[in-house]
Amino acid sequence: MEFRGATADEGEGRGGQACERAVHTAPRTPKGVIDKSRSTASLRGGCMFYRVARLIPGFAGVLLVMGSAIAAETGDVATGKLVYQRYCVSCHGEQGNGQGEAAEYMSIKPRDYRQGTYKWRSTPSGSLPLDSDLEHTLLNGLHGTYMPTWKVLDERSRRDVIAYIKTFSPRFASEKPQDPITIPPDPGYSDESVKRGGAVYQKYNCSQCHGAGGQGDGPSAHELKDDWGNAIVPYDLTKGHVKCGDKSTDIYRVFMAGLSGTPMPTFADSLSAADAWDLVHFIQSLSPGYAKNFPGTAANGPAGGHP
Amino acid sequence: MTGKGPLQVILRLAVFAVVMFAFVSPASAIPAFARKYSLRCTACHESWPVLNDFGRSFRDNGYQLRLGRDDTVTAEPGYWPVAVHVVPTYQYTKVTNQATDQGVKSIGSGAVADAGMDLLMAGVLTKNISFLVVPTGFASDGNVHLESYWAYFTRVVKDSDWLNIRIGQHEIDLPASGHRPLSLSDSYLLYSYHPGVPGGSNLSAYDMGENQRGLEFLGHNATDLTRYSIDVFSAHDSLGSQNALSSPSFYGHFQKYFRFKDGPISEAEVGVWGVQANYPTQFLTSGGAPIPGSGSHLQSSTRYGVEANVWIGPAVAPLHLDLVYGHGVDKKGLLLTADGVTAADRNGTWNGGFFEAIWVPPVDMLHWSVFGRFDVVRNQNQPLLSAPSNYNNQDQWTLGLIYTVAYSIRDEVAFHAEVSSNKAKGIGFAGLDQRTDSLMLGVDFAY
Amino acid sequence: MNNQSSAAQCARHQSFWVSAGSAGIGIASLLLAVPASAAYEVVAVTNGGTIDGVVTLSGTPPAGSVIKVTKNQDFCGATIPDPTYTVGAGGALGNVVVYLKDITKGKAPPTEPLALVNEHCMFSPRVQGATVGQQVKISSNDPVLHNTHPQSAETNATIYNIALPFKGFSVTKPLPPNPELIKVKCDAHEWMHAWIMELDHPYYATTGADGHFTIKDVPPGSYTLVAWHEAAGEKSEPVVVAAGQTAKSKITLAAK
Repeated sequence: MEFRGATADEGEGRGGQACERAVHTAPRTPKGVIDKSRSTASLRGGCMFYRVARLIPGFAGVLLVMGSAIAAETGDVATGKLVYQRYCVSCHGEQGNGQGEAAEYMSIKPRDYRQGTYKWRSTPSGSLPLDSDLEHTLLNGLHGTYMPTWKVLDERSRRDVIAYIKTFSPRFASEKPQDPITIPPDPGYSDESVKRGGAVYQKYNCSQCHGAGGQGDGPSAHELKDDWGNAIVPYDLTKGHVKCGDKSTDIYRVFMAGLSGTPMPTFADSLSAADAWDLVHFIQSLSPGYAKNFPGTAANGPAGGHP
Repeated sequence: MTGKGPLQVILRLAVFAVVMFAFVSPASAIPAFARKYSLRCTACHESWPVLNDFGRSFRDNGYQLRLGRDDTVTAEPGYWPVAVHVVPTYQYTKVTNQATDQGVKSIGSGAVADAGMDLLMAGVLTKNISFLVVPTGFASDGNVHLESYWAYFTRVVKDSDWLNIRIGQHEIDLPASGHRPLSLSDSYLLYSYHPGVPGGSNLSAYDMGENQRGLEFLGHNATDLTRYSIDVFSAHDSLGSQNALSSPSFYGHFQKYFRFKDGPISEAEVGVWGVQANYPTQFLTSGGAPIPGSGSHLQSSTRYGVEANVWIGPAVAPLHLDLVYGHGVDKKGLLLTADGVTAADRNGTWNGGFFEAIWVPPVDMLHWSVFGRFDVVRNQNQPLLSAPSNYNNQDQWTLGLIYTVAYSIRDEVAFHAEVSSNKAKGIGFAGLDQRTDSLMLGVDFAY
Repeated sequence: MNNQSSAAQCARHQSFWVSAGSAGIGIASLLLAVPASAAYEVVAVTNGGTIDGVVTLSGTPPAGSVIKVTKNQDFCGATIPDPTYTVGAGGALGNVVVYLKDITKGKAPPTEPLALVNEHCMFSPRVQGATVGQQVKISSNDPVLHNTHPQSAETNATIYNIALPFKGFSVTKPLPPNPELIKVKCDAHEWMHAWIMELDHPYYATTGADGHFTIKDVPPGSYTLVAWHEAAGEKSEPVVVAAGQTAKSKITLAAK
């Protein structure tokens, strides 16, 4: 919770922090603390403009309303900041460090945007995500976490907030996302494919973390940590409803792109597309009532994918 | 504005349709949800308590975000679906041309108003069944009543959002919520106005802004761009009736939203709405008081109109303009002359509406809101042929400024400053115009 | 972020009408952006010198330290000797990366890929130097699932995370384009660690078990020599390299 307008000092602090972010020169922002040392005297001088602007919010506001509403193709960072402050800041924090006021109560922590590390990507392991990947998460939410779907937001707000979120990591300014991985068409769910997928599951030692029965209880399941040092458990594949999406292509993508920031690696270098699809179907078969949930697959023959 | 209890009170309220609040209308803005979902008030409220797209969708979906953690089994064990909302205010009101025993006077008075409290209890009972119960009042008069109590069944047919059903006492799906106004010192004239007979009374106490007991059918599409609400209810404070079957009333509302990917307008909406509220005009009585369930000879208060909303600038910090027009008809059987028995000469008809502007300045953290509203009522056919044609025509304006000190995932505190003025033709002493000005300074907090 | 990207960010800010404020931020970022260390320039080194030295450890490292194996014991065994301190005769310290600091021009970087082998549930080598963007051949000789997960040592940010699902699998991947210390882990076997000191020049060496290192083809001049060890930390020594000569160096790190 943040109390506003209490003292002039507070206002200065915020202005200064915003400026800090703008001049941050480290290749990757250090984990955890905000580097106050960067708030030099001349920097504060530069931010005086910022504070003056705050004194005439009406004027600045009119300009913003006109300016941002006309902006079209690329997201507008300034408006995106307001979108972020309206919807995102309580979990992801004003500094984008995933340490908003609600974060400490969450077992699955909100994303820290400063490293440019994202689980849900269409791009290879370690790559920055595409804008469309970030939008995918906004549209679908992350099931079972506190991240809801923002489908009801207008497209412009989504676009703007994506542009703003990217400013938290300097990587977006200096790197380009790699090309997305190719996902060939799902050859279709079938009992044979499930059987082959079971063999792939064994051959690729998925059980090392996810366990022989897919319940997330393999020998390596217990000491796992994410990039932020938070304990993380392998997904229980028998629960159904996968966090990163239920579609067969979502599961395929996880194998091939990995989940950056977590122990889940990419198998893109070792797993063939055919084996990967069999593995997808095997994992789907672990969910109770899978065939019921997706009647268009097994029941209706192997013809082709499902939603 | 509430009208209940003795008949006379209702009649008087009906004649003087403008009521300055003794305590404010409860707003159904619920910090318990902010707590449950770790979202700030701003996620659902364009400016508290006015809902934005996300808030409307959340409400229409039965307070569910549909992420597998909505119902009581999956929510945090510490979550308790209760919130409190209180609005202490200082209000100064000046009424001109007030009839007194000492002649016509202008009377000004100011005080910290006797505030009430809303206890907002709402949540999801189990998947797709949600509830809201709001005891309100708790004021120094000791009165507590249930402002709302309903159960809401969402996705009644498979996974479709086109049919959701609410049962209980609930808010009518108005063009602009009568329970979520930014202004704390006056209300939408369109919702509460009734044509009047000088010195007479009105058997209809229908107020669109009041919660009603009945059944609502509501539907919307996935991205909330089309909505409908159809409501069957028994109009509140309908004397001598006891349920929707004995004096059914109907409300309908259809809305279409439009979004624009480019240009200065981010979103727009148009809608139509209409209501026919039926009231009995004859009852059996006991000791002079109507016997519940004995009413007959229904007569209607009818209102219908159109609305348009436009959001200029970014959807997240818009200039929101809202224009609502309505036409009203009160059947003459409802309108009694000064003798309390004889009906008026003809149906009272009138036109009214309001234009409202809400601006959330696009400054850091969105703590400010500025709003203004202009309400107007113009009578078309005076119920009494002898009445001046402009009798009880009204003009009202409101200007307000809100500064939200904090809106966290736990609570909300905002300062309000507001001025408003109402001018009503011919209802003052000896047919003079009556003008009511008010200044309000207050704190609105909820947790 | 370098100069160029600061300017880009500045330009982006200025393109929005948030107010004069963002312009202020932009100007501030222009003025204050600290240039990253100048890019390394490859030149022909004809009469370079050599730095030849030894790194020793003072103090006593933890004795007889072993890693307790918690999974795949059937293959990995119950314990593995802890390789953190590889100390030889006379305190000779292995697995120390020794490199020159702030050298801006010199010999061409190596073109062959580094090797990083998963073997007997450990990484080999434990520690090595690299030049920016150098390729790494990652391979597994173990019949269990390993994953090779390099992270920025400073921020813990994932660089990538590659599965090595079975014995004999190998893949070659580039290191990131900016110099930094990289910590490599295997999430599946939490005791497995390796370190790659990624530099923007090729003047580095790793000490062997005898604590010995050699850096060749150094353009004559005065330099700062840095020795880095994963546990004993870092130490700098000045070194003067004369044309065609061998400069001797002896660096002592304290056990921690």
